[in-house]
Amino acid sequence: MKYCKNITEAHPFIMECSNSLIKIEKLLVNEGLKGANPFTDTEHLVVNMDHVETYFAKKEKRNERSSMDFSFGISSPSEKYVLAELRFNYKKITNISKVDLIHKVEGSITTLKGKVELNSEYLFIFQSNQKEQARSLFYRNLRMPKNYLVKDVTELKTDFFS
Amino acid sequence: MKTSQIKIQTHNFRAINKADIIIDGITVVAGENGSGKSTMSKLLYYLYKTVSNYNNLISKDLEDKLRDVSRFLEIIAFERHSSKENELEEEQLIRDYYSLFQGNMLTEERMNKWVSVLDKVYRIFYSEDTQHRNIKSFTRLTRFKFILKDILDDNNISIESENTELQFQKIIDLVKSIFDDAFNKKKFRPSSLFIDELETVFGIVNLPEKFEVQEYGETIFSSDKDRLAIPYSIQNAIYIDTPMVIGSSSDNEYWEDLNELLRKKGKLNNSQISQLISKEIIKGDISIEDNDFSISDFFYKRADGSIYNLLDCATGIKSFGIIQLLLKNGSLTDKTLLIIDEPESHLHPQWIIEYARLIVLLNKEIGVKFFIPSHNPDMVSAIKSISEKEGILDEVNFYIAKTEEKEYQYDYIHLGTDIEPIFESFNIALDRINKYGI
Repeated sequence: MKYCKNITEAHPFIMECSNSLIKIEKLLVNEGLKGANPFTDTEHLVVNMDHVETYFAKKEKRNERSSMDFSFGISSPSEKYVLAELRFNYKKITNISKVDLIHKVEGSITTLKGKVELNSEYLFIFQSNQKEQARSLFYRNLRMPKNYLVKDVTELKTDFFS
Repeated sequence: MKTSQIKIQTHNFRAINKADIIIDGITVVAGENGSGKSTMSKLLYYLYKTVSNYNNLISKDLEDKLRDVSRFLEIIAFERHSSKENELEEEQLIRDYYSLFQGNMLTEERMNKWVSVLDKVYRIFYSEDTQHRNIKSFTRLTRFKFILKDILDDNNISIESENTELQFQKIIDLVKSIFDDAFNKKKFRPSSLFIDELETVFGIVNLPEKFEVQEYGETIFSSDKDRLAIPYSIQNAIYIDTPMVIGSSSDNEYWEDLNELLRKKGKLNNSQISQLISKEIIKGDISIEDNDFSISDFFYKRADGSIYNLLDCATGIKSFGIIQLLLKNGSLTDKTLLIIDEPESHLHPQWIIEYARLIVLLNKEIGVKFFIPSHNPDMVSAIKSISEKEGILDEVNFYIAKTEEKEYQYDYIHLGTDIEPIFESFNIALDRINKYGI
């Protein structure tokens, strides 16, 4: 599963709210990434899902739903969009709320339903020094669904953007 | 730069390749099975047991070495009842025998008393002029001679003839040399006593290539040095490798040590932490009472009034019960090193967190120092989180044991307060679930 620039930028749903595209390098910094940014000096664009949610909430005259942070297109094995959430600002990792995370996934699924095909795995990106603790918390304590994957930015880049 | 209270360096010992450990407050080590965590626990326990109770151990060693001579004198004092005419002399001998075990054990006065009693016994029983009235039985004399020879043989002392006077003189020389050895040990604090302990515990001849303990930068013990210094920061070490130890008998010396400590009847100290255990965790109280045979039994008195023998209670109750008893009898102080192997064992997850809280509070409120090998994510996470909230995180150190260069040989990596590498290790289990499960 590799990032596809064309799919990310060219889908009709993105064309409708084109200001939602943002460099992932910048998004990560905006959201509070600490330490090395493996996307520095890269040109990868992703979809800012908060913008998308705001756009469609206005268009559909409804309240904004909780949403994931960003999305991007992949081309193989088929054209899909991956939903990802950035979780950089935990002082205490144990403050993660299972309900909040599930609402974010469900909110974005509802918003994009019928517009794009979504990948069935959802990414949760943590600071590198909290990833393993988050993983333990996800699967041992919170019993999160197995398709909720914990990664850090290095893994995100390796798995999808390299 | 911060000077740590205790620094322990262990190199090349069993599974440990290199472990440079700091104990400032709470030290937590994680690592797979067989990485040497329990070895570290035992090394620490026996070191501090030796250096902190040095004079007691010398006394114990002295008594052990005098045991056969002592038994001989006991037999003489109690088993001969030769005749009415000697009754007063016999009674005096019994008093003399008891006097050997009174007062300070490690004094020249006591040594002289032993010599004088042995001399007296010889005069009463074996000298030519008294033999006729004291030795009524040839078999008895034969038996005594055999015992004397056995004591000398056991101590590798050979004599050319079975001359009784010579035998007695050799026994007196033996007693003097045993006392002299103890006096020298007391004076010079040679590290051999600790080395002997290690050889007994680990059953080996190969000791650590390097084992050094420093207190505020000053060496307390080093395998390079001949003498043991006197520690200040840690004056007693307690080792709990399982809560099942309570009330159990075992060949393990540290089990016996702990049970002896648990049975200690110190002044009752019902501290806030002890009350916290009673009210918030085990909903009851642990107590100790002598039974009909004057053996102390442990009881769990539940808040509803029910009383149970602690040995029949859940292991989790025992885990907290041990801590409560040590608290109550004053065994836990700011000079205590409490070593607990995998304290999470046998505990429900919520009690794991309570136990972690207890560890943090005992360090914060009393100053107890901890060495905690752990395999549990909740224990590790809770110690860090609760320590941070209680403002003692600066005194907490985490370590992970990893194989680096040599297979089966582990280096202990200092993590400070970063527990992420420990979780990376724990999470291998999650990968295995995914690999073997659906």
